[in-house]
Amino acid sequence: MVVGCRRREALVGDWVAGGDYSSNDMTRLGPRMLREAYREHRWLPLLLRECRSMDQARAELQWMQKELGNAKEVFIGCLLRARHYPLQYILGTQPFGGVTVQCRPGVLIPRWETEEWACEVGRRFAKALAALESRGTVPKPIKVLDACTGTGCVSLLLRQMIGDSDITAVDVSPSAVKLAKQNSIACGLPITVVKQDLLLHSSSICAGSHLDLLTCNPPYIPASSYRRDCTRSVRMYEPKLALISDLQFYDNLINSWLARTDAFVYEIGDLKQCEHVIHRISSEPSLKVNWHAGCRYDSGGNARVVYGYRRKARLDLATIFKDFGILMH
Amino acid sequence: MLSRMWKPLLRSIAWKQVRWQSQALEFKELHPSLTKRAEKYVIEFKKLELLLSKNTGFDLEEQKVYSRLSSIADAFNTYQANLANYKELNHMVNEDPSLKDDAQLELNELLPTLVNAADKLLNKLLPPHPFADKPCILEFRPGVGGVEAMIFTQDLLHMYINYAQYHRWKWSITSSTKNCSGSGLSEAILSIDQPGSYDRLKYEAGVHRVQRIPATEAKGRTHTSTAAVVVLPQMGDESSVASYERTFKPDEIRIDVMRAGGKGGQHVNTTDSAVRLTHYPSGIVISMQEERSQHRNKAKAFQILRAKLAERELKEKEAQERSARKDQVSSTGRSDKIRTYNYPQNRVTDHRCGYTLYDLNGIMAGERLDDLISAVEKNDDEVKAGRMLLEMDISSHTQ
Repeated sequence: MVVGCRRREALVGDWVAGGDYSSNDMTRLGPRMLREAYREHRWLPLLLRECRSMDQARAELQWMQKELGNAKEVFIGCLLRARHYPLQYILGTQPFGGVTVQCRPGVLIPRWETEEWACEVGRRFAKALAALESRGTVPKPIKVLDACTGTGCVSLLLRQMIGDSDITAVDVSPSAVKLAKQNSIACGLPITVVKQDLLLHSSSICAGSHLDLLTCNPPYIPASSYRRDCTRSVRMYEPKLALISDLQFYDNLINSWLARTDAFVYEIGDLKQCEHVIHRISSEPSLKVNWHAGCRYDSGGNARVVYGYRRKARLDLATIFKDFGILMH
Repeated sequence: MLSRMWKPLLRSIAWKQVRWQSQALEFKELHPSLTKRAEKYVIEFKKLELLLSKNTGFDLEEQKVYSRLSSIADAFNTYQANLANYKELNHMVNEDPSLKDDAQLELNELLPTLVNAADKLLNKLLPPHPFADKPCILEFRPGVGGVEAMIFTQDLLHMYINYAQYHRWKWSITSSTKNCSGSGLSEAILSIDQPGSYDRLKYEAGVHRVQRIPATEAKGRTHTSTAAVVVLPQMGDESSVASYERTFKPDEIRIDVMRAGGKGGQHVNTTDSAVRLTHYPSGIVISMQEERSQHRNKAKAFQILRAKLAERELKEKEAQERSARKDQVSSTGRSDKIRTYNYPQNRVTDHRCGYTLYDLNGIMAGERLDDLISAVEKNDDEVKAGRMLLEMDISSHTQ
């Protein structure tokens, strides 16, 4: 395991004093519950500080025992978990659909919400291509750009599910680019990884080519609500670069990318961001006639994705995105 | 004094003793109508062989029928040859006093092979189980007996894992929940990925009973506890699950995931990946939290749902057939208590065929489980053959 600076800090630093509640989780860990946990396994009370439920603590202990080499590593893992260090950094991996990506401090951990929509997008495109092939028309490989790729999870999953595709992944963070390249090799799925700032140099990314699909999981937490809405673990150990931003990336989508792509799928943190994109599309006459756009909810009941597609495109996008979410424009 | 010294010693010896009734071989010729049936298959086989030798095309269905018939024909030929030999020797024993001793010796040697051949032929003649070539899923649940039942559930799980390992079958634990005190299991699912393992393990379904002094017992009394095993056929692998998921109407299925409230997404990094799958028409509910990703938990849940639905369908079909026959068949697999593991006596008894084996360690290590399964299988074959003969009789009477 790589001992990151944050990790060491978490191990040797002061313990956060009792009454350890984050804003989202108000379960009280009573002495009785801790005693019962201790009786079952000595390290379970450590895990309870982050998990807040016996079932989850048990599951995490099992995963650590299964994936980490020896008891010492597991014990260190439990200590780190007690200081809200992410489990995915301790284990070093996270399954994402059909692929398993490596995770490392400094790069955002893939979320299940992202996995959910990425699987759905991959499945729909794979099905459309299979239908084309069965009709005898062999389509050109579809061209996808995955911006703000982080671990490379979305691009790798799409590469695996769609197969015949040309996928470029972009990120501004050097550690993310390095990790995405490693993940591509480890999974045996060839993708092109580019280090570039999406906000500053959009035109130089995939210059001269037209995209079939643009996916992005941009930072979408406004700085004003960062402290209030994020859990302690996220605030302490995940990169702010991948978390904090508000509308810049969505404005960048409208200004620089809509002209160069046939479809886009952007993750959002709040319905307002979706409304912003749809408002911009419907208020610009040139975009208004060419584009459909909508919003998709995740199974946790939150607005999670804003997506859109051209009315006229190389692929039959209306069928691909049928019932993907709620069309709002 | 002496007895006190001897008792523990006696207990520690593995008594590899088998009931004599099942050891003493006696040969009964197969029923003539069964032989007739086998002859019919052989004729059919020859026709098909001729057809296939002329035909150059490859038809999968035809090939399947061909391979089944050819195995029947093989078994029948061996049986016929052995039987002819047997009759001749018998004749010699009775007629020719000079050769009697030699003939008797040879007869004794021949008998096991002949019985074996007859069993094999009988097994081949019975219609194959619809899921015979499938891999299987075993589900374990403790019954009565509290913590001791949970410990026994764990022992059973280990027994089947050992059995799979003994046969070099690929296995994996799909899910397992330890009980709160840390000893024993409150639920476990084991999947054995070997094609055809369902055919072998399908007789294991039912209630297994254990009699021993539990680890939790303070006063040294013997307790009786139970654990239930359910055997399901595996219908396709995890990769085909996604397409299987689409075969359900949206209102038939409900998938619940963790709903912690709050904003989700980048705001939280949860490790809770539990999925609960509800199938409304059948009322089956499956919870899965073994894997670290919701996607994989969902795939596993669907795999189990599929197995459960397939098994339920089969059971309904069997029940219909049985009610159509209007008889009380002593059924295999559904009788509630199927086997007793008695630790003090080092004994395992299967109640369906009355077969007893005095080698508990060998059974729990998975090495001698095959003996038990074979005995049950043979018993089941006999019951089924009896039923088949009865049906044939009835149909010949009505004609």
